[in-house]
Amino acid sequence: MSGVPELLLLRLLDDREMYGYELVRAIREATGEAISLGEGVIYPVLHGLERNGSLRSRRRSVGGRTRVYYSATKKGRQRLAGLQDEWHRIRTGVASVLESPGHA
Amino acid sequence: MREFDFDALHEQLLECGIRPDCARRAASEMRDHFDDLVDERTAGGAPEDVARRDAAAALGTVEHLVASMSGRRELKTWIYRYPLAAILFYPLACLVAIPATPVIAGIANAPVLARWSMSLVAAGVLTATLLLTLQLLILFG
Repeated sequence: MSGVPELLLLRLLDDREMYGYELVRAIREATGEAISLGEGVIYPVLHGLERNGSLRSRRRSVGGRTRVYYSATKKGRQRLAGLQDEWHRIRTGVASVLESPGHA
Repeated sequence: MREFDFDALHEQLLECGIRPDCARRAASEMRDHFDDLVDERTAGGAPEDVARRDAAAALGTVEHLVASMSGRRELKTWIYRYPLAAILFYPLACLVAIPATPVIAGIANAPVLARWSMSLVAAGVLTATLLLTLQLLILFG
């Protein structure tokens, strides 16, 4: 479960480059406000992913503000595939326990 | 509630061992994030002071943000990532490197050193010869 912020960020950044505030909003909207990553979570994860080569960043000036845009690298896409597999395994495992009559 | 202190965030990130470039950028990103939150609230009709207060509350505390960043080892400087190396091996390496450096430099620049040495020896011999000649002239002249 600790990899959920990484999974969500890599998935969103696989589509297009985004900056921190945009990512917080996108996660909130995409999950119907079920998941809300705080600022205290998102920036450390973004910086960590960039540090290990999963993301790259660049500064862009938009509307008079300089923003740091992040995008997924090839390594980041590989990591995303790994995290997605892991997530599917966890989801299947949890579902099988929840749906099993013996455990209900 | 007080406004978010971005300078304090930057300082505390450095104090807990976050790499300087990372600390600087985190503080800058948080400042941009704060401005975006203020814009979002003012666009929704909130007065400026209320928007700023709410935005600061949404960011959380400096301590919480610092704790989140400092929990990630990869964001720290090598001294904090490898404290044993920093405390033990780095001083030992310095102890070896400091005396070894002039020796290595001497070997690497041997021809130049040889020329300088020969010049110094020649200058010494010439000076000694002159002084000896003067002494002999004083004694027997």
